[in-house]
Parts: sequence; C-alpha cells; structure tokens
Amino acid sequence: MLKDVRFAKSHEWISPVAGGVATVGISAYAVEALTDLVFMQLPAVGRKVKAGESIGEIESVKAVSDLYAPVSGEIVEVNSTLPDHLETLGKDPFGAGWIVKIRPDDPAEIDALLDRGAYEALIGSQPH
Amino acid sequence: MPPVKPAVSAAGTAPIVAWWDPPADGATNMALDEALAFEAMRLDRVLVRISTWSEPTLSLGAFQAIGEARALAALVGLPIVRRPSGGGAILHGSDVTLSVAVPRAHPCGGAPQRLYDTVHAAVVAELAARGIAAGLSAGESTGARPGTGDPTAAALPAAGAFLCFDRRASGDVVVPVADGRGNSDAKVLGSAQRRLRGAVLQHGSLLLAANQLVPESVRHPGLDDLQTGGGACAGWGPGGIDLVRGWLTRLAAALGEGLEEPSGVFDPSPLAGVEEGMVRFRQDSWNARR
Repeated sequence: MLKDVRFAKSHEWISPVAGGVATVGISAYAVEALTDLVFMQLPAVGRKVKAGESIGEIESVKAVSDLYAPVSGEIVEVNSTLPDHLETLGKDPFGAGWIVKIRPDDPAEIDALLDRGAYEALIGSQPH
Repeated sequence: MPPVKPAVSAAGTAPIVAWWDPPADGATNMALDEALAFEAMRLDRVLVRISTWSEPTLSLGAFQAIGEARALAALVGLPIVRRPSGGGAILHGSDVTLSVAVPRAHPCGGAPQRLYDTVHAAVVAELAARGIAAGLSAGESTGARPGTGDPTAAALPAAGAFLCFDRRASGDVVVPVADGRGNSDAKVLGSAQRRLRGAVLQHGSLLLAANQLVPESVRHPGLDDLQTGGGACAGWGPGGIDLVRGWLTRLAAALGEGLEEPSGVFDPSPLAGVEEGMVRFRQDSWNARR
C-alpha cells in the first residue's frame, strides 16, 4: 500500500481513492520529528476543506503543529480513537494511525502530490 | 519601521533581524508574534521580537484547559490569553519574552529540538559569561507542585505540571539551585513552538525575577533570586536588557551572519493579519477553545 501513497510537502500522506474516499495520515518522519505527542485535535466530520487548509492540530511536549489537508474535499470520517492513543501514530503511522478519510473533490489532485521517492528525497534534504 | 528586505542568499545565511518592542497586553503580544512567523516565512529571514507585558497576565499553552486556568487566574486576579504555541502556563510580569521565528527551510526549522537548543545554548553561554552556572535540563518532568494548602495551589490540576516553570523538558535552561518547589534546580527559561507550514514560531520566557504579584504558591525564583555568585540582572532594567542583548548577539552568531536591529517597533505587513489576530486573541472562541 505504501508504494501507492502520495505525500504533501507538509508531511501528510494520502492513499489512493477507493470507493470515492481516500485516507490521510502523517508520515513516520513527521511523527519522529515531533517526539512525545501529548494532544491531538481532529476536524468535524462533514467539514469541507481546501487543499493546504488546516484540518487539525497536534501537540508534542515542545511544539504545536497544524495538520493540513493534502487535497480539497469533504471530511467523511475521523479516527476518533487516535487522540486517546497517540502512540499509535508512532507504531503504525501508515495503518492504524490514519487520521481522517476525505472525499476528494478532484482525485487528480492526489496525483499531483509527491510520490514516495520524491518525498524521501525531500526529507533527505531537510534540516534535522 | 524601515522595510526589512527578503534574504538574497540561502536561508540561514542572512543576518537575523530583531526588534525591542514596548510592553503590550496579551492579545497584542500574541498577534504580533504570530505575525512575526508570517513575516519570517515571507521574508525568508530569522526574526526576533523581544517583548514584555504591560499588565501581569496568565498565558496558556495552546491546548491547556481553560477551566483550570480560570480558577487560577481568578485567584491571582490576572487576565488570560492563550498562546498559539504549546507548553505550560506562564504567569507573566517579571519575565521577558523571547520570540524567535525561523523559516522552515532554515537549518533550525526542522526537528523542534534544534531551534530549542540553539536559542537556549546562547542563553546558557551568556549567563556563564556573567558568572551564572546555568545548564540545559535533561528533561525529567517532576510534576512538582506546592503543598501549602494555599487556595491557589488547590486550583492547580492534580498532575501539577500546569505551570511551565514547574515542568522540565529536555533543553530547558536551569540553574543548579533548589527552587523551593520540590525541584533540585530552578528553571529560568522554557520555550515552546508553533510549527506552521512555512515557519516556526518559538516563544521563550526568561524569568528575570520572582513574580511578586502572584501568591507564593505559584511563584518561581528568577535569576535575581538565585544565589548564582553574581550577575543578577535586577529585573527588566538596564541589567536585564544588557543580558538579553548579550543573548541576542550570541544567537545571531549561531544562526546567521550578523544582526540587524531596525529602529522602531515591529510593524509587519498588513498581510500578516495583526489586526485580525488582536481581535481573535481577545475572544473566548480562542481563549476558551478547550
């Protein structure tokens, strides 16, 4: 599944569309960089979002970071158990650590995001 | 404010830009700091804003519970503002706020700890030059809380780590003197970040002296109160300003190629949304959002 995932430069991943819906999470790199997660705020189901818009926030011991919608669409489901089990983000960021499911307005927006190779090149060039 | 030019070389190689702003209320300070991040992103420059508070204020971390804050604020009689950054609550009044905004492409814009350590190491070095033996905390959070029976203590959550200066995160600046609150050291600088898509805003609170305007149960010793062998800064006067200037010079050396200090106050572009921020940071929809 990971080979088909696309990435935003802001470190969210999005799955291919299945049944009109795509799954969104944050990358293992982002989870590791944030360290010691303590709180997460999820968006409301039914909310319409634009690509790049903040859809939630995540707090670690030292920092608060926004989560951004990788594509435009409607939030159709959120992983409501995640805020109480933030360790899941570290253990399985591309599986059980999914954050929201979104019905993209235009599935072609996903294709315009980074593929795995391009994303790995991006994080390889980023300051640590 | 004379216009600050965008960086013309790669991020991280242009001089940092710093403003010394006059005291302001909580909403104004937060709106200006948020704008600082926007401007850092727009200009691709490291920007610093040094500020104090025009009235004693309780600032909350981005996700701290408003109920506990209100109980405490009512007992100590302070207004509340919620910061965009994380971390614990701070009772402002005897501290100086060190706001640093860094473009995400800057070497310190990646993982949170690097900026935290860079800013704090400059403070430790400046304190050392003044004979104050400060260091970086290993990060063990004690959860210590006052056990005095004082009603302000009862207002604090049971976990006891509601206040920033009761917490110990990796890299906090501490002085190895018992703080009288159950810790073997005294924390004098803590920071927390807001990480936006294009920039990181880091808020730091440097505690110059104990805040005499709040009850002893929620009061922490500052630099002036610690037996440090000299170098006390005497609050936010010439001594404190000189200390912060020394820090700023060291930070500039660590982060860039120099330091620019424009005349006048930080006056961001209208695009930075200060006016909107000043409204938002006064509203319950922000301050009581959790």
